Amino acid sequence: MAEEKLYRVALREALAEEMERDESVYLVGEDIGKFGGAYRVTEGLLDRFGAQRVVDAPIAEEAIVGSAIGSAMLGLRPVVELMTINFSLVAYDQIVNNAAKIRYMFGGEAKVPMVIRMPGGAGHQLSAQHSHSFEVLYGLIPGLLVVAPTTPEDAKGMLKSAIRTDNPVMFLESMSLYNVRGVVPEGDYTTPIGKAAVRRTGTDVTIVGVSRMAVLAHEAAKQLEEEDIDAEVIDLRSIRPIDWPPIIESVRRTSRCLVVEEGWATYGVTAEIAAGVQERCFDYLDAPIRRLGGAQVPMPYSLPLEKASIPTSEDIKKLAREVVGRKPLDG
Amino acid sequence: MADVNMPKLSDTMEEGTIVEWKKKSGDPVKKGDVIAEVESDKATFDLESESDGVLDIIVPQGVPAKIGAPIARIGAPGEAPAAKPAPKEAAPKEAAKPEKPKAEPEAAAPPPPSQQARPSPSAPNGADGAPRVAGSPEVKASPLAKRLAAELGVNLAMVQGSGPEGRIVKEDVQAAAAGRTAPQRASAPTISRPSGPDVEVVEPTRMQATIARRMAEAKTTVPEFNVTVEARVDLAVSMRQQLKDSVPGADKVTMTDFLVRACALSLRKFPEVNSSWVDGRFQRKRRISIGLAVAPSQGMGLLVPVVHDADLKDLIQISIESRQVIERARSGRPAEGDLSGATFSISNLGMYGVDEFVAIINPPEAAILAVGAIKEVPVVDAGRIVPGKVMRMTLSVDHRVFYGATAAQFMAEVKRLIENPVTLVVPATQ
Repeated sequence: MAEEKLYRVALREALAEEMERDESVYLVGEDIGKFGGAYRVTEGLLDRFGAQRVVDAPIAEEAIVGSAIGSAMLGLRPVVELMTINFSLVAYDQIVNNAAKIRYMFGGEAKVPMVIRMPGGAGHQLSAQHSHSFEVLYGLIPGLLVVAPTTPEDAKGMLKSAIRTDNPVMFLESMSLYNVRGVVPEGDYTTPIGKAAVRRTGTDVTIVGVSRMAVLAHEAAKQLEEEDIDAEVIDLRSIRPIDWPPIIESVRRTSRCLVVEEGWATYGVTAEIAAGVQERCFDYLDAPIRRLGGAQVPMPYSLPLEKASIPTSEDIKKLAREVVGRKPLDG
Repeated sequence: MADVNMPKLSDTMEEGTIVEWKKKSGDPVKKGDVIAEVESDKATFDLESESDGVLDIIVPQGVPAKIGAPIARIGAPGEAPAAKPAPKEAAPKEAAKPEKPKAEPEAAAPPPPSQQARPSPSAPNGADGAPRVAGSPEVKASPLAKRLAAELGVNLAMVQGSGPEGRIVKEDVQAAAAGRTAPQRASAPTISRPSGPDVEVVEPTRMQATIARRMAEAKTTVPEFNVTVEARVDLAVSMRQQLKDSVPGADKVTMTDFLVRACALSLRKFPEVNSSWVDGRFQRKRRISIGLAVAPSQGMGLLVPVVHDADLKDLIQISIESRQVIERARSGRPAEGDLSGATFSISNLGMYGVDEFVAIINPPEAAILAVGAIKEVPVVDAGRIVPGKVMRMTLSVDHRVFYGATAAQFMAEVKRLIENPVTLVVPATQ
C-alpha cells in the first residue's frame, strides 16, 4: 500500500534503500551524521550505516566535492549533501571543471557516478546570499545531469535513479518542499531522469514550471479553472536534459506557453525553455511565450520585500490571463 | 514607400472610415497635404500626409478600417505600388559569405519571394525580424494565425484582431474563414449596394407612432429639470444576492425591484411628486403605481408595464408582480391595467452599462427616474479610499408640479433607502 510521506522522508528512504542495495554508496556532507542534516534528511542514517558511510565533513565544500569526485572515479558512489545550493559556489570549479568533464577528458576510462544533493530557493528570510535558485548555473554545463523533483514520489524515485546513474547528477531540492506530503509508492521503484511530468491537462495555455514553481503553477491552474481558463501544467523535473516532446506536444495543442521559475528569468531556465519552444512551435503559437521569474534584485531580508520578489500563484494567474488574452479581473 | 495607417483618434475608437479621399491614387502628395477626411466614432478630421510622394490608395471611401491598418501608401514617383520580391543578394549575411551562399539556411535565409519586401536592403525581413504577411506588411498576427490564414485562404488584412494590442489570433482567422462573405465584401468594394433609392421609408408601428407623438409632446410642453444623485449600492447588491440565495420566491429579484420599492416609499413621503398638472391644477394621486420602461421582445419600441399600489407591496411581491406584468406586456397580451395608470416611472438602462442618462417624462406623470449601471469605483469612506459599488440616478421633473428642493429631498430619500436596503425588505404597511 502506497502511503503519504514527507518529501524529506522520501529522500531519506531513497538514501537508505540505495545504501542497503549497493555497498559502494556513501554519504558525505556537513552535519549530516550526528546532527542528522540541516534539513533532517539524513536523520538516523549514521546509526544505521556507521561513520564510514555517513561522513561528517568539515566546512569546506570544495574539499567535500573534490574528494567525492576522486572516490567516484575510483569506484564509489558518493552522495554529497551541500547544506544549500548557495554554498555550492565554493565547489563550482570542482563541479564544472572536474565532475562534468572527467569522463570526456579521460576518454570514458574514468567516470564520476556522484550525486550532489542541495536545497535552494527563497522564502525563509535568509537574505541575499542564501536564497538562490541556481538551476541555470548547472543546467548550463554539458556533462552534468540536473534534476529538481517536486513531489515526495519523484524525490525518492529520482534520487534512486540519480544514485544509480554513472554520471554526475545535480539533485536540486527546494527548502520549501521538505515538508510537503505526498503519496510514495511501496517498494523499490525509480523515476527516470530526463522526463518531464504533465501534472494537469488543459487546452488554453501550457504552463511549464521549474522546481517549486511547478507546484505553484498547478495551484494557479486549479484556480484559473474558475475563470474558464483551462491550463495545462508541466513539471519540468529534469533541467538537463530538457524533455522536449511533452512540452512541444502540449504547446502545439494549446498554442500558448508560460514558463515559470523561482530564480531570475533573464538568462534563466525559462529563457532556455522559451527559446526552445519558439524554435519548435513557431507556427503553432497564438501569443508570445511569456516568462515569469523572481525579481531582478539580490533577495531582500525584509519579509514583505522578499515575498514581493518571489513569483506567486497570483503572478502566474495574472500572466496566464494575459497569455490567453483575457483582460485582468476587476478587484 | 511609406504606409499611411488608420490613426487612433480617441480612446474608444476601434475603426475609422474614409469619408472622402481628397487625392486619387497616382496623385503626387506633399508632407502636410490633406489627403483624406476620416470619420471616427466621435468626429471627422483631416488626415495629412506625413511624407512626399505618390499616393496609392488601399482602402476605398466608405469602407471602415481598424486603427493601425494601412489605408494607403505613399511611394516615390514611378515606384510600383505592389510588393516586390526580396532580392536574394540583398541578404546581408549571404553577402558576407559569397563562397558559401547556402551555408546558413536558418539564420540568414532571405524571405521567400511571396513575402513583402522592405525598402531598405539591409532589412529585407523587417527591422524587427518579423516575417511580413503577404500583401499586408503591417498586420499584426500570431504565427499560428498566419499559418491558419495561409491554410484557410484568409486575407489577414481584412481580419480584425481580438488579441492583445489588436493581434490577430487563431480564433479571429477561424471566424473570418467561417464567415467568409464578410471579409470578401470588405475587400471587394466594387460590388454595388442593392438598387433603389438612397432613403427607404419605413412605416412606424402604431406603438412607435404613439411614442413619437407623446415624447414630442412631453419635450415641448413640459418644463423639465433634472436632479442626479449617486448612491452606494454595496449593501443592496449583497442583500439582493442573499435574497436570491436564501429566500423562496426571491430568486429573480432585480435591482429595479429594489428601486420600485424605494421609489414607492419615497413617493408616499412626498405626495407632490406623485402628482400631475392638468388644466392648470394639481392632481394628487392617492394610489402609487410605478411604470417600468422596458423594450418589447420583438422590434423597436417601448413598453411601460405598471406595478400598481407598489407602496402596499413588499419587495418579493413587487419582484414577482413586476416580472409577470413585464412578461404579459412583452407577450402582446397585457391584462387590463397592465399598461396604464402609472403615477411615476423608472427607466433602468444599467444592464446595458450606461453610466447615467436623462429620461423623458411620460405625461401626465410628473417625474421619471433614469437609472445607470452599478459600477465598481474607488470611493472615499471615512477618509480612506476603498473599492465601492455606486449607481447614478437622474430624476426628470415637471417643474410645474414640484420644485428643486422637493426633487432634491425626494432623491435624497431614494438614495437613503437604496443605501440602507434593510428598509426595503421590511413588510409593507398601510
